[in-house]
Amino acid sequence: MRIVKLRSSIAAQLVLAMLGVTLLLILLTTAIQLHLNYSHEMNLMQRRIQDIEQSYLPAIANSVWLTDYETLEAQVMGIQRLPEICYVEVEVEGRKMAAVGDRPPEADEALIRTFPLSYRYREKNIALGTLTLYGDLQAIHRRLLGDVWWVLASRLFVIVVISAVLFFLYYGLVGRHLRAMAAYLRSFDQGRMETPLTLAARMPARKEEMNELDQVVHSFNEMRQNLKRTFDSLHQVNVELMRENRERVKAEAALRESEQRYSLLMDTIPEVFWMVSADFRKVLYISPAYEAVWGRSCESLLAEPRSWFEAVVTEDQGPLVAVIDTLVKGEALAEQVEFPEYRVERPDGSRRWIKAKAVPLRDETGAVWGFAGICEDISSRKETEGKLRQAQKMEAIGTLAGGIAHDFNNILAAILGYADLLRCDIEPADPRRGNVEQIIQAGNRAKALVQQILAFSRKSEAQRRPVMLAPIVKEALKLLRASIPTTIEITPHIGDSEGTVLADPIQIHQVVINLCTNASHAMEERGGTLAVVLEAVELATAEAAALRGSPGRYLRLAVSDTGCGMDEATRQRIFDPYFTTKEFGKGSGMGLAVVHGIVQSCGGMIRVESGVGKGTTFEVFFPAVELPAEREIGTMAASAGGRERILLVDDEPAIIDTARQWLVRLGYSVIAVTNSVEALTLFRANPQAFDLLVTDQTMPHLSGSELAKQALALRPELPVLLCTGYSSVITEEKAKAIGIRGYAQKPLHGSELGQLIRQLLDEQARARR
Amino acid sequence: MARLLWCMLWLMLQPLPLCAQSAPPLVLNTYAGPPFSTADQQGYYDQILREAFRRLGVPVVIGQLPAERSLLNANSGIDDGDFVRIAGLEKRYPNLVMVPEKIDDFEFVAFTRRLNLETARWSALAPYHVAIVRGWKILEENLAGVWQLSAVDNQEQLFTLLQRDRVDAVVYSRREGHALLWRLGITDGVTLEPPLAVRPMYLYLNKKHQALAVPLAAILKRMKADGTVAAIGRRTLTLFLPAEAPGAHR
Repeated sequence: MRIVKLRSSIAAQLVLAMLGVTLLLILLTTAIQLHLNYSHEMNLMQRRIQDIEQSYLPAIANSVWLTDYETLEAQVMGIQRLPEICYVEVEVEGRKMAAVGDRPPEADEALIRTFPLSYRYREKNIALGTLTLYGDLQAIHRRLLGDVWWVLASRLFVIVVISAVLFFLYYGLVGRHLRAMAAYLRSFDQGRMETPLTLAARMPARKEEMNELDQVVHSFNEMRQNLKRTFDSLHQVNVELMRENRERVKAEAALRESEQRYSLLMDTIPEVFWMVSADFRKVLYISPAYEAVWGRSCESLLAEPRSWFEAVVTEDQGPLVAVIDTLVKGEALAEQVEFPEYRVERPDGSRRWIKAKAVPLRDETGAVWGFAGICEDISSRKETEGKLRQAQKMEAIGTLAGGIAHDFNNILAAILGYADLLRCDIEPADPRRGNVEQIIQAGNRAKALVQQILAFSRKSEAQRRPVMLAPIVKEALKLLRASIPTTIEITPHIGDSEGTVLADPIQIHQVVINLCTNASHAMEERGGTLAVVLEAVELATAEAAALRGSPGRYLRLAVSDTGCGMDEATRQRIFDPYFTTKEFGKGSGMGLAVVHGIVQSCGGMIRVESGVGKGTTFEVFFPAVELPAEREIGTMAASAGGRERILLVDDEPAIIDTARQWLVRLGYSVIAVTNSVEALTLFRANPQAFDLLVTDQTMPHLSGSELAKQALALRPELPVLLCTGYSSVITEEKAKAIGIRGYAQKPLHGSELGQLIRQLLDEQARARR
Repeated sequence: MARLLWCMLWLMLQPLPLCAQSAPPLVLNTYAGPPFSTADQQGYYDQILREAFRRLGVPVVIGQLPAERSLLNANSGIDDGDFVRIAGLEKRYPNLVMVPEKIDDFEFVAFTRRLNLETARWSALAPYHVAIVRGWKILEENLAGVWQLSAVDNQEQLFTLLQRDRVDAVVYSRREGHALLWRLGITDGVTLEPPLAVRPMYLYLNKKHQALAVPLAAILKRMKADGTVAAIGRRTLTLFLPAEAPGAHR
């Protein structure tokens, strides 16, 4: 284990690497040095031979010339003693004249050089022989080899010593500190971040004096601190990320829920949601509502994408194609495109109105890859719009009629007032009396017609309050009995305490009159039975839904006749205004429309059952309320006169004249004024001079209510009767708030006026007591 | 008549040397020094040979070389001849041809300043340090057994050794030895008698001049006969060898 550690240590690796590299370098440098030395030795030998040539050759030649062979021998021996020369030979005329050395070496053992020996004699060079030198290559080899071994051994020794020293130096200076650092780093974790890394050696305080290891330790400790800060930050981030992850999980759950809601929405919304490709040739998605609107399956559309368009009514296809073309060509890529409304024909032949919108679907680059949109079945709205237009038309007519009715009421008031006065002045046996009564009858019909117009146009104010239906129905039937032919039998089935409803009694009265009048008309030719039933019923959910109402307790008013009945087409239109099956002049076409309007305004429902020749039954359901009925206006008492002083104000001279005549005939002292400002001046002059103020509402300069207000300011206990024909300014409630005790709608019969005045005066008298 | 014929024959042979008139002169070398051969070619042997070759009609130049070199040059053909040599050298130097008429007789004697031998013989010199001139074959052969034998390049070196007592005795020719003793001022130098050997000395030519050997021998003989040699001896040797009778032969 220890060996493995030693071998794996950097010091050992460093030393081994250095030894390896150094050994290679030594071998290389030694080889180079050997080569250089060899070259040097060879050069030396060459130079030596050159020196011999230059210095010895002439002398040797001279010795040979002089045949001084002793000298020659000495010279040759001298040459042979030179370090590089191992053998010397002088040959003269083919004979070996001198040879020094152990033996002549082989060619590969020596560098052999042969020089000619010549002597200058009598202007000629005389060739005497040759000098052959044998350079001792083996000696060079031996010497160099000896040098190599020595150099190698010495260098190896030095390297080994240096390596050992380096090893121990490295271990002492670096290795042991690195081991300490490794041990620290092995145990380094998040929990030890507070403990700094320290080495056995003392670390200088100044950074400039630190060695590399100190700098590493210093830097590591800085990094440790940074790491700790980073860990802390990461911990914070991690906490944040976990929180965000929880939120993301929640968001995903919310998204899934949203997708479920979306899916549920897509499956349940009546609008058709669709997605198509950019060329409109492929349907990518279609919501189930398609089946309800188009009457065709979604699968059939996905299989045949044009089938939705083929269902479009032919005359509506053109504008639709134009818009689709612009979308496909990319010419109209607004954020939202509305298609022209079109109709589709369902397989059963019925048609639906469709309103469609689309938005382009874009990818990241903004390129359009498809379109999504909705198709809304606006058939009901179309129908409602038709009705709305009709209603608006009716409202316009009503406004017109209301304006006319106001003036017409004044005219009627004058006609009826004077006719009433005339009838009173004519004896019953007088044949002219019949004519006058015809005038009054025609005036009453005109008055009723005006009331109908005002009621329909809702210009007459409905004043709903808890009322009991039974007395109103009974009174209406009592009135009807006089006008219905005797061939028609009326069979009422009316309980006395069938509960109360929230309604305007006058309107209820009108409903009964209209329904019964219609029934009587249906039986006019052959007679029959008019059955009127008033009862309390409890409508269950299913029955209420069939009537488009809510379940609960209702008061059911049923009016049945045994007349001619009506077909389905007629039945569909009976509530349309001005729809009538009667001959011209007998019906206005407003009766059932008014009934329908009144019932709806009360929150009630109507059911009609009829068949041709089977008679007709109208059932009207009024929501019952648990409130006590308010006191009903009592039956009009017979006209009673008096002696009180009455200030009568109206800007219509004819009306004020008839009313004055009636009141004078009843015994009252009447001052009639057609100018309200003048009347106020008169009253201010002496407020105590009058016991009652009767005033019209609509007058120039000073309205009736304002006149009453100022008069009451002077004399608060003064009874005031406000008469109004058509007015959007003052209602009975507002009038009472001012302090006006009497409120009546024009036109008033003279007797009606007399009764109201007497009632107010009597109440005043009772109050005084 | 015979002389006439001989002359005619000689004349017939003339074209060769005549034709060689324009050729370079023959070079003859000798180890002998003054007064026998001098640098200005006025020595005793110089004048004899120049006269002989003059009579032959062949120009010669005479030079001085060490004894062995002189032989080698003549044998190898570097030069044309070598003179004052004993007979029989052609056996060792096969390219040499001896002119069969001696130029001089050499008495080989031992010169000494210290030794006093009663009878001089080769063997009597055996215990001594003896010096000779290199290339003298007769000396080299007979003195090979002495205690120490030194060979020098020339006679000046030889007698200088004697003068400086480096050797016990030097062996050389009598007349030249005396001339050197005189010239070097060695007054105490004496010869050991009798001579160790007496040898006739000849001129050797390279083989290429073989044809000249016989005519030259004849001319030399005539020169001895007509007193030319003696006259030359008187002119050249009297100063150096006063004891010697001019032109005397021993």
